[in-house]
Amino acid sequence: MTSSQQVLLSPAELSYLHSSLSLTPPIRPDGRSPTQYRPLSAETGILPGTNGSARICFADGTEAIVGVKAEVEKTKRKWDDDAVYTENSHNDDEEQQQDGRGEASNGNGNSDWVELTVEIPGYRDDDPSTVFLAQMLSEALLADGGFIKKLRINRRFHWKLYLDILLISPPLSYPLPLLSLTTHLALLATRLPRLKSEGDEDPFFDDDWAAAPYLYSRNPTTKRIAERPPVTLLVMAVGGNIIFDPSKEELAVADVALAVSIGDATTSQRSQGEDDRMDVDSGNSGGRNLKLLSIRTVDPPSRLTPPGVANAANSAYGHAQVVNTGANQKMPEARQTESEAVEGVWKPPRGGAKAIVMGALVQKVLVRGGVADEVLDALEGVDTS
Amino acid sequence: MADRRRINGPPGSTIPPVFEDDAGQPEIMNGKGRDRAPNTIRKMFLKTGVTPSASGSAYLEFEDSGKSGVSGLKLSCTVHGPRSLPRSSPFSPHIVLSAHIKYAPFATKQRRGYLRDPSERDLGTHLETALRGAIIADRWPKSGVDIIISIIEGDQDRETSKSQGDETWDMMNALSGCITVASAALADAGIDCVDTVAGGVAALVQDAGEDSTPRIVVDPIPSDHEKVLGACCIAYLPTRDEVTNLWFKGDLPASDAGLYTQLVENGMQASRNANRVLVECLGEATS
Amino acid sequence: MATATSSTGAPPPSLTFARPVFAKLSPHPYLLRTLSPDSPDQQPTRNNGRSPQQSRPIQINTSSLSQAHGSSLVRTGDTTVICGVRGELLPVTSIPQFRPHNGTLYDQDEDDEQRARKELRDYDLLVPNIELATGCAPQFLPGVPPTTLAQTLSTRVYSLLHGAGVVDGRGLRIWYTPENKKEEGDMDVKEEQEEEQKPEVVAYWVLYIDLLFVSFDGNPFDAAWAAVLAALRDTKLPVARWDPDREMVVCRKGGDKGLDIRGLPVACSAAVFLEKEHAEVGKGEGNRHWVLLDPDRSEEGLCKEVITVVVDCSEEETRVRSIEKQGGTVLGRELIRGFIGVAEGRWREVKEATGI
Repeated sequence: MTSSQQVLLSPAELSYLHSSLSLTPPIRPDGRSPTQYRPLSAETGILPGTNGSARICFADGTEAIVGVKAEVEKTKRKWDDDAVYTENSHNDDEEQQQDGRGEASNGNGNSDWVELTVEIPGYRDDDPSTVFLAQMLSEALLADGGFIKKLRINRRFHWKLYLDILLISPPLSYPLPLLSLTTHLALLATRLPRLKSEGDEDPFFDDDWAAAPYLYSRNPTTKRIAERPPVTLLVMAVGGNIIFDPSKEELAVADVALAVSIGDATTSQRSQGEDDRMDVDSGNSGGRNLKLLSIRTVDPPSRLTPPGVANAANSAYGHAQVVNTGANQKMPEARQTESEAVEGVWKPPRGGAKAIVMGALVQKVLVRGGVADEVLDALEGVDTS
Repeated sequence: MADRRRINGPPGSTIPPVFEDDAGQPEIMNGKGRDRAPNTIRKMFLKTGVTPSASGSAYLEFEDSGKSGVSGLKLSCTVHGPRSLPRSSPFSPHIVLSAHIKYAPFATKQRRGYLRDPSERDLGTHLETALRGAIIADRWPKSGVDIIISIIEGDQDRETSKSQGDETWDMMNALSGCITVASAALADAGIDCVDTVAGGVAALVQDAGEDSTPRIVVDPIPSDHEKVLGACCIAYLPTRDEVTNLWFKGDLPASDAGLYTQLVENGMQASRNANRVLVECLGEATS
Repeated sequence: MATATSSTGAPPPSLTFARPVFAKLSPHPYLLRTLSPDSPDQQPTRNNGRSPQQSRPIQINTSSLSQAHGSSLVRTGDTTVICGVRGELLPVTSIPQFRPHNGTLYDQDEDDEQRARKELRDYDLLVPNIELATGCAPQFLPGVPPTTLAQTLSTRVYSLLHGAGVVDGRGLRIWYTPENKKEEGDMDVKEEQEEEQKPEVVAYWVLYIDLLFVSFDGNPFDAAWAAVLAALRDTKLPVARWDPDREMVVCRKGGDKGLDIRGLPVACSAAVFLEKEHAEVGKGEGNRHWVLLDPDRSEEGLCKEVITVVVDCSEEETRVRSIEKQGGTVLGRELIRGFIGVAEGRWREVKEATGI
């Protein structure tokens, strides 16, 4: 498991890490603030053979590239389409609308239009953790119904998008934030050839790459990206603290870890009739309208860490006489040490997390002008043209 | 590549039957709707010890919703272990848990293959997360336990052959059932847990058109509703009041935090109800 | 002496085990003891309390699954198997070496039946598969390719389905008679056309027969075969017709039609238990043997020789559909003949459970 890969920390080290992260404010091993991301360098358009690509390198040395390829594919049609068409052909507009709505609600046929693969060195592509990552990333992408609609060419054809997500460094930390950010950038940089054909005829395209529109369209006047792909943030709780973008060591002492996918809800507002000025206004107020797309619990590797042994229970320190008194007494004693928390002795967390704690994590992600905003702002700074 | 260890059938691809009546009544699903109160889950039947040769086993069945062709979920779970890890595996201070979920080929509208697809593997990971929090893992160092669930029948409406994107929501229902049945089988196998863990699903649905106010229901059947805006599946330990797994999917505005909290609350409530059945069943089995 | 010291101290732990422990530790001698009781008036019994010629009661439920076209659940003792049959359509255009035949819709002769049987085999219209890797017993865990046993069972069911001719292939054909496209013209022209417009087969139903073992306690083939048969009898396929406009097969709801299932072949298996576990078996060597009907998992582990007989007594005369025997040399012609009588008894039990 990528999330629960063996962490080579002793129980004493784990205990120390846990208590330092539980302080207010927490002290993280690399000196970041609890909401601070690892510094990263990013570039887009690195692969000329793709429709869109991006590379992100985190300061800790993990690096990922994402390539997006698009192919035209014939839409699998329901056999009744024709019937509807002939009956309603006199009222084409209405029919078009119906069709659009029908497709929007038809998640299955559409979710096939995106194929997302994750490759992590040293892991099989059907390894549970790899599958988990891929499902999580595609889930966020598909939860935003608007994304799939962009892939529609006409009633008979659609784009099929292949997203290949490659981690090119060894998985030094849980790669979810890295992969999500890289995918986000690659999608932002993705352009599809401009359609020259009209209506439902077989599509043909403009071969001028400069004229190719972006998958995520830009505002023609401000050149700002009007809508954005989702981003998945990794957030964990230790003691009473909420920590963003945890490193592998920090994740090893987490009480609970969540992967929260968020989208930018600005576009859906506009589609409801609000004009650009409103957009700018909301931008000025220092925060985006975020929307929650998906949450998954990441199995914290802390559950699989070795427990420490308290001095009182350690036979090397005077626990010996207890052992000598016989087997009968030994058992309840063992039970007791199992349940009692001793200061400074590492004990892997047991059970789950309170719903309030999880709710607090989600709130912290979604708060206006919070980390999610910072991340999106930072990504906006990357030149994707 | 064809699987040469199985009988694959004709080389040409076969097509599942297409019904001509589907086209005429796309609205048929709306007429049926849900007849339970929003906060009640379906009746379920749980039994342990269905596979005597396994260390622990359980069978779970959801009540049919009364509509023809709509089946309730049917799950069978076996637990093997705790047993010693193979020699090749590294030392583990804890019990090594592996969860395996497979749909039977005849469980869903589309025939499923025998190889697990990504969604089934994904369900397995969710289940592992949900159970790992419940099991007292450090009592069995150097040992492993296998939890195998066969979904004999999924929660799908056979009548509406049009897919409404239900599969994703069906997975949540399946997962909540899997969590409950696995918990019963673990108890049957005598593996120590901090508490019985049960699954619960709550969904935000829209029943009357695009502009109607969404409402929250527990244990949803997607075909009952016009549109599902979001759903969450929760694995919950009632006596500790803790959540071991939370899986949310949907499209919720962040400005309305109450909606999310309410969904989780309802999911926990559904899980509490399922837990009552679970505890009752285990009590019967031991008495 | 040992006895003197033991009288003063605590009694030495005696080496006695409870019966189930002994049965687990040393299964072969234990089974041998229960099968050959000391006093002649005691009946030989097996570990599971049955007499050698006694099978476990069989219980068959059908139509419990709604997604499949036909389904069954069969329970014999602790062996539980679920079978689901699903029909899918195979248009003749996707059959690589399709040979249209000259038969018509109304042919009911022997020839056509033979041809239908050949079609079943040539076009592979019956697809049985058995899944054991459901954790139904500790040795069957998922995550590995199908075991040899699972592969053998699937193949045996496959060959028996074809060999016994259980399914009438004529019921799986989908016919289409091209319509008269021309306007009503001269009488003589029309007559010519009518000759051209013979009905033709445009597609076949393919039956996917999937078996899932929920619980495994020996004798998988008998249970699996009973489940296959019950599910096939339960199968109802929708009425299908060719839609020339869309060039595809369309089905109609309502009026589902059952399959035509021939006879009721029933499988009956037994294992041969030998007195000397590893001895060579020769004639007159005095290695006693017992034929254990419907062996369970522990007995299967102790026996090398297994026989399966498939009989059908639904007609006046008992018909033997297949005899399969593996390993060992005990069962000769006489014993097999006698065993067919036992199988007839089993047939009546299964018939009763099937409810016909």
